[in-house]
Amino acid sequence: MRSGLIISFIAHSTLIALGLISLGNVKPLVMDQVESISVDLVPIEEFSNITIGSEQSENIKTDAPSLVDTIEPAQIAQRTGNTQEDQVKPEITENITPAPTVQTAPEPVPAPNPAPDPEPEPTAEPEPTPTELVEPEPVLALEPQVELEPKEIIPAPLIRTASIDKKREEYKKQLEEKAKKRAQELAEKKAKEAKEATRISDIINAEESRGATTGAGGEQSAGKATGQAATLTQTEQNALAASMRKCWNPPISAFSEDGLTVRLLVNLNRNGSVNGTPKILSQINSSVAGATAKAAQRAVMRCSPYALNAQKYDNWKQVDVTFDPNDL
Amino acid sequence: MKSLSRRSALKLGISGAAMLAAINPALALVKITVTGGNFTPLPIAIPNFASSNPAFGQQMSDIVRSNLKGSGLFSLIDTSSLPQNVGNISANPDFSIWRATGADAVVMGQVENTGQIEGSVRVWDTQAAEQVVGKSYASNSSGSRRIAHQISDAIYTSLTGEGGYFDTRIVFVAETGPKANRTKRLAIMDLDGSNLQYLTSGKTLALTPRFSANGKLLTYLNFDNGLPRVYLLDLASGRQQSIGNFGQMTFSPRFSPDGRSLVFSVEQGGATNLYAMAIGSNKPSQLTSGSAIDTGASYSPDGQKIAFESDRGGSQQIYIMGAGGGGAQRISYGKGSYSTPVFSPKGDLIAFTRQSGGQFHVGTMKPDGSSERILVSSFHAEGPSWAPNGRVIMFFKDPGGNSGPQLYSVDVWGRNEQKIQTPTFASDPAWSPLLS
Repeated sequence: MRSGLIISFIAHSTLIALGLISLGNVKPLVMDQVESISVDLVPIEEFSNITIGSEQSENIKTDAPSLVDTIEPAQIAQRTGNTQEDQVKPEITENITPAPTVQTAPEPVPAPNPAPDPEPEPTAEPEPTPTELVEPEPVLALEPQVELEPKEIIPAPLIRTASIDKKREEYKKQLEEKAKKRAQELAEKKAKEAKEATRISDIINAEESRGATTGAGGEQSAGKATGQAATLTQTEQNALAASMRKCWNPPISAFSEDGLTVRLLVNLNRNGSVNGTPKILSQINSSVAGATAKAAQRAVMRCSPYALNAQKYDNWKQVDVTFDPNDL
Repeated sequence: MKSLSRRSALKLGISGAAMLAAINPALALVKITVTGGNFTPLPIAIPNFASSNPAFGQQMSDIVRSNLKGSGLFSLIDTSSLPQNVGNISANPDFSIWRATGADAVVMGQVENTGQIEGSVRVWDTQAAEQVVGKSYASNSSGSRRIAHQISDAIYTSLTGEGGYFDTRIVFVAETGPKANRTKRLAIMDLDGSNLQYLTSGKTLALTPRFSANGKLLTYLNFDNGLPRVYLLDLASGRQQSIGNFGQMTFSPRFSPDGRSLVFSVEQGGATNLYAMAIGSNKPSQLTSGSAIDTGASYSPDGQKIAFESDRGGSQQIYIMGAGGGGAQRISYGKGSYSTPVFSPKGDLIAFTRQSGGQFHVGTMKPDGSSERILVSSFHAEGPSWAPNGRVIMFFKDPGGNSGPQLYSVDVWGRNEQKIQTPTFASDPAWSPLLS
């Protein structure tokens, strides 16, 4: 029994060990650089949900709102105007219609010379027109109001005493303290908000929270949290490719060959300069491919140093670059 | 058996975990792709070649410099701004100084003329700081220009990846005399215009010369007693010989890639058909039949196919058929009529002349007829001939009026159209293969 157990144990652990060793040598997932596309995850429930229904249903009759106010049927509109008799034919009358006047503003009257006013003749003063004095209507006298008994006791005029003064001062102090406290609270609140604001902008601007280096938060990408491939963000990779493209001068014969691409392995120093000559990884099948590969090496070396994030140096120590003469 | 104690079980587990942890997947890399390069001529610095005769060194480097500049693929750094005027072939150059001049490549050369011409060259890549190519040549005393051309070919090949074409010759029809009565004779010269020689006397009209694959024989059309006949010309001896009398006219000859047979057109009874004949035999075999005009035949570099022009479909178009004759397939479907198809020496393109829209165009297309590209359009431009590297085409252009045709070259990418200097009007160029 025992030996069987031991043998079984040994065999199992051998199998497991073999599996661990051989499976561990599997090639890592090769990821092509793809353009990032934003994707919305749409759960299938949105499409497959059955609408909620009910077995019981009553037809509730409601009248449609009426467009008209009355129930009387509409009558076809009658034609206005006299359609039975012929209208009178307009005749030429003898009345001459007056010519249309052209209303213009009166001509500006020149300023009159200050001629001495003629003395007003002593005209008889107009008699004052006797205005009929209208006697005011007798105002209805209000009923004499009965003096109401004052229900409230009119407080006697205050005698300013020292105690009141003190109380006044105390009240003032209280008010001041309250105001101070409020001001303080406000200031604190503002400070807190300011702090929070800077923290938020820090959060927004911080690379750590945005990048994929941690694998948590930020852009989602396939791979492990400890994976080391493609840990430059998409924009950083595109920026590096764009800076290499500036010096990329393929030989003209490369444009006639279909599908000719060259792959280089570039070693970079921490300051972004190229370490040594890039190694050619793709197969060189023809002299044109060889000349293109040389041109690719020249492109990488001429455009160095590259602007890359020094903190991520471990990620871009080595870069695998594919050079394609044609525009995709 | 002792049962497994807890301690040993723990040890086992920890060692197993350590084994696990020690197996690391290979370092994965950031991968990026750089697309869309722009071609700019490669900046190259060529100081004068070292030589015991400085004038000779300067002359040779001048030939190399004008060759590379004329190719349109290099931009030469001004010699006055170079850190050293004369190259040193045995020392490693100081790459940082050369990089500062803006040069991507530096050429150091040495030439000596001591009864025998000796030349060596080294091409350095300044960015990679290593040698690209190192070659030496030797020749008899008359071959100094050829050494310079071969040096240019080595530089061109090592930096562009395409074969060179500078060590070649051009045969063309030199036209002299009034426009109504031109004298047309065959002339041969180096690509850069030197060593010009006339091959025929001009008594009879000579047209459409074509090189054989080894560059030693020419075939052309000669108006012998007023009748067009195909002739062969041996370049070494200058001897000319007719291939025979077939039909009423024979014209448009071309060599096969192995140089042993000719394809040409024979006009008989109103129909023009293609015939192939082994050189030396007197029996041509008919390749096409019918009453159409089939002419302008050109073999593919592997000798398996023939491209030719035919009007069997109603208008002049380009057809391809097997080298033994048989069914021909039309490959030209663009606007206008197509003629003079020529296979490139690499076999990947066919050059042609097209007439459309009242103009002539010279262009290339793939052997299946796709990817048609027009390189040159002009009032009159035709007769393309390929450089040995299959990347440059020479043709002739005639502006019309009282002037005459001139030779031009253009590369298959449509760049660098250049006039080839000839002392007279020139047409019908033929580019020799590499002389070396």
